[in-house]
Amino acid sequence: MEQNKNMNNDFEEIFEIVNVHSTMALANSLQESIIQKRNQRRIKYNARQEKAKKMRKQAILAIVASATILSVGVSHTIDAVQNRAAEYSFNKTIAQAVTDNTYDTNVVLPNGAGYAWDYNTNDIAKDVLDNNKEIDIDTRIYGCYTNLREYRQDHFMDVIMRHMHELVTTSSDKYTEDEIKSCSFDTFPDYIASFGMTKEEYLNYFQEVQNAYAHNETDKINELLQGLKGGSR
Amino acid sequence: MDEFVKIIDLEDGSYIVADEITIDNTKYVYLNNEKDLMDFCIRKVTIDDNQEYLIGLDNKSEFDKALQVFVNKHKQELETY
Repeated sequence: MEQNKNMNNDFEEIFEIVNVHSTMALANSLQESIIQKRNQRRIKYNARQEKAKKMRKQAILAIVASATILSVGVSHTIDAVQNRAAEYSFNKTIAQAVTDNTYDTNVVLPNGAGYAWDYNTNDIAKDVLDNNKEIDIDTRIYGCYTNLREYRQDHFMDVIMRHMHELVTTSSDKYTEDEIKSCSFDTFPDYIASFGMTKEEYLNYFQEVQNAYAHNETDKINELLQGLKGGSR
Repeated sequence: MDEFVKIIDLEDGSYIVADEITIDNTKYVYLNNEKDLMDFCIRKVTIDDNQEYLIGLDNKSEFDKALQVFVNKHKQELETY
């Protein structure tokens, strides 16, 4: 689990780089700077072993990512990087309600594990409802849940569901029919049950919806959302 | 978390040795600037009096070939994460 987490962190950093470089169209200057290095004089190859904060795996991924920017390499690998970068970027968008409202407390954790964290669940509920309106409410809820940390994830999601229910009840004129319907549940299991799915089926289904959004596949998004019976449907 | 990596000093700073790959009997070394991983270069090794030296690649096509072999070798890490 920890290894996977580290791997995902590696990718997050690299995907940020891919997005930035792609956006800024730096491919030419990047290539130029790499090729120019060949003009430097020869040196003895005496490598030493050192502790380094930047891991070798990250170094490898950076080169693979650069290859995609330079359009060098195997096409499906380039596609894989670009797909992952798009999915990462979309996930970052729907995670924002959570990431913006997660904070470190003053409580120091044992064994040098840093500070305890907490959520501002009221603000998360508000942000899920008020932000990213171009994305349907059920996918925003899915993004919220999947980006909560594992510790008491279901408990916090229940709290957020209740806050959302309260918000759509007290300010019903502010929200759409879909938003009101999806937020009419007091627990996350009740919300998932409304789809007639198990939790695993729900997570798999919305992972597909999320990927369709990430790749701007409008027809697929519509088809998947229209196939739902439950939540806002 | 820190880990042990191979480091080499080039003219403009310290570089992590990301990998060494032999292609057509030539050893290529893939180096990332320790301070900026996206700043990387590929060098090849020549041997002179039993001492390994790093030299630049001859041209862009050699660079593309070395990079393509690197991507092929490591694509699995990307596709199976």
